[in-house]
Amino acid sequence: MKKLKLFFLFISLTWISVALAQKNEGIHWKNWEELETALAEKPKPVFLFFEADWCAYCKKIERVVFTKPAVINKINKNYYALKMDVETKDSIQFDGLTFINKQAKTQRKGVHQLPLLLVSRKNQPFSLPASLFLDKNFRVKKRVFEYYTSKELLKLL
Amino acid sequence: MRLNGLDGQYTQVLVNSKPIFSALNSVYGLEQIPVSIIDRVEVVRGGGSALFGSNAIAGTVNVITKEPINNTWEVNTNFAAIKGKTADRSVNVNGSIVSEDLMSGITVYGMYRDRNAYDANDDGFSEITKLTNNSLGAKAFLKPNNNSKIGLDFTAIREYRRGGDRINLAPQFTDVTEELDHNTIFSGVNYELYNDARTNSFSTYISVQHTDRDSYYGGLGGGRTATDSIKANNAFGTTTDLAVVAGAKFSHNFKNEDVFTAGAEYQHNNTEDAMPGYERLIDQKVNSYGLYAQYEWKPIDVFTALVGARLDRIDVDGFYTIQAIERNSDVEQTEISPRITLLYDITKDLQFRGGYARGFRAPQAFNEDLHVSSVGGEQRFVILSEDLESEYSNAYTASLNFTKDFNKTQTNFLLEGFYTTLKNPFTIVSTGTSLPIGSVLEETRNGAGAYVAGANFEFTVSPSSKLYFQAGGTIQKSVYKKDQVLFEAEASNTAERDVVVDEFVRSPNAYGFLNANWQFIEPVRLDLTGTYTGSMITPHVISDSGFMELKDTPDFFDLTAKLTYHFDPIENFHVELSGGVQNIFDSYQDDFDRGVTRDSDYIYGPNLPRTFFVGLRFGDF
Repeated sequence: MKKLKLFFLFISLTWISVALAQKNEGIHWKNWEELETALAEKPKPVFLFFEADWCAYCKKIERVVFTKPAVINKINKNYYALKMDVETKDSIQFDGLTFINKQAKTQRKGVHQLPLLLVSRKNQPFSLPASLFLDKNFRVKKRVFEYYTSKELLKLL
Repeated sequence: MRLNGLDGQYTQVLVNSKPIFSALNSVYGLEQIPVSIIDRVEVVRGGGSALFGSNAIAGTVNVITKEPINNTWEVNTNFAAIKGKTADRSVNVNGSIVSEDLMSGITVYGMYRDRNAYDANDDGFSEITKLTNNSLGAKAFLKPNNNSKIGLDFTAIREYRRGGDRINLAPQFTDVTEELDHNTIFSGVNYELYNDARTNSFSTYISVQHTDRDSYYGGLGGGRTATDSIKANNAFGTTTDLAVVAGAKFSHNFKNEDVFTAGAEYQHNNTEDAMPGYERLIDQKVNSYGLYAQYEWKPIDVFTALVGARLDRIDVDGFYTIQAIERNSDVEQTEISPRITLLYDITKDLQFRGGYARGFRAPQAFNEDLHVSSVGGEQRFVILSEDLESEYSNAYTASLNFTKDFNKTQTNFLLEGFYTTLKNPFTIVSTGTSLPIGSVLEETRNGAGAYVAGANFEFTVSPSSKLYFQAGGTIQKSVYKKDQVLFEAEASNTAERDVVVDEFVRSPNAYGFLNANWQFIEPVRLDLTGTYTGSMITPHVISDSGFMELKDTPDFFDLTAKLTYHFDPIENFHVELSGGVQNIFDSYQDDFDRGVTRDSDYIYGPNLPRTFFVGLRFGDF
């Protein structure tokens, strides 16, 4: 009997540590396919984050803001989150349409059509970091083109 | 450094647009800046801007550092073997920490360098000095709000150099030694302020640099008597050098894209260089005050004119002695130097640039005058001549620049012409062994009027981000309008006559560079850099009297290749292994003088023979 109790104790400890590890895993990023499926099943607000190799502020946000437990919990609980490398050459299907990186055929550091569509600004060159906050009907609520601290992001969310 | 045919004294080196200089260390603190915090180096040929220096007529080189954003750290070690046999080791460590709100941060860096002395011709006397350098520095910034920034800089450098024979002995027991021990502290504060619309900016800075230098220039000179020994024991010297630079600048951007900039600058330099054993003293105070204003006029899209002027006042109070010779410099001079640059876009891809700059230098001892070298087993000193007058320069440049992207291929072509006149250029003339102790005395005099004329071309092509190639060259001639004396022979010596030139010495008629990098497979990159130096006239002392011959040196092609292999063993940790050969063709001077009586100034061409090197760099960078 004692051995069995010990065994169950050991198992539950393992379960607890795995559960805690899940909490420390970070933001559950989805890709465009998973996002489409999730929105069809259960609509939730969406958080989109665009980055690139050359964007040092994006790197800072990923290292220092997206790793804060308060930010991770709020995003995982209330949002579907997606981050995208704007220079990717992948062909992406979303909302029945196909998006590619047309600029990459003739330019260095070409930007993919999806970020061009979602986070371009009139009369201003394309810039990063760019973050998009959408409501559960996939309508744009806020577009932020600056760096933010974790405190500022929590307010935006 | 050579820009538009003129050597380093006519170029101003800046760090973040602030001048770095002093009489003792003319290009100071540059080696200490970690390469990883350099954002870019801006080289502008021709002195068309009023913002920089009364003497910067050949151009400016501005090293701009980047403000750190992410936390980083790195360790960089390098080991080189000069000619495969002499070791040169260095370790660099630097790291940056920046707060989450980006409002404060610090970069800390340290360097250790140890190079053994290199003897090129096995005569027991070194051609490259022993060098050890330990430095420590930090740059911090604080932004009280989004429109202002305070910056703090600190660097401490301890540098030791030793050249000559029997490096392991104390200097007074050797035949010829040059030994320098520098202890330098550099500290600066700067403040920047902007308005919300970013149409007005104001910046101010103050930097202080202090150096204590212990020197030894001398030795037994081949003799072994008691008199030789006493002389050798008296060759020690001490130098104290203080440099203070302060400035303020205001800039306003008008709605029509015009820009107005105005500012003031103050520089103080106090140098005291004493070698009591030689009765040699340089005691010099220089105060310079500058006011400048510049207007950038952009009436239409394709045309810009930069018009400005500087008002400089220089006070030199200098006292120079060597043995029984005493000289003074008591100068108060005010000058206006106009500067103008015009830019015109002939087409979208072709731009014309032309400019004029006026410059001057007041008589004072510069870096090269504080240098003591040896020849014939004796020392060679430099002193200002009597009634030395200011030097004036007028520089004209015109260029055409073509830049175009063909899809992913980037190209750039530049063709430039330059013409600079020099009135009363400071020229070093040897008076031979005119000193009672038998040493050679050189004087800085006003030389015959001269002009420098030539052309630069530059060509860059980069078919992709993985391949980059750039090459350029200059052809020029630097001519004295009348024959210029370099050596005054003694009347009593019938075998020797005055040595006279009509062209500048140590000024090659052709020189060039190339720069290429190629990432041929993902983790490996090849870097190639090369410089070409054409033939030039170099003086070479060949007799006890200081008499010199003028040698035509051969040309040199110094090519360096480096391979770097980059991999990330774990996330956020990078490792770079590198290795290569500097001066692959061993294009190096092969006729150094031998022994005690050698002319230690007879050195020209690339500063290293073929050298193998390996390096390791790792960290989160």
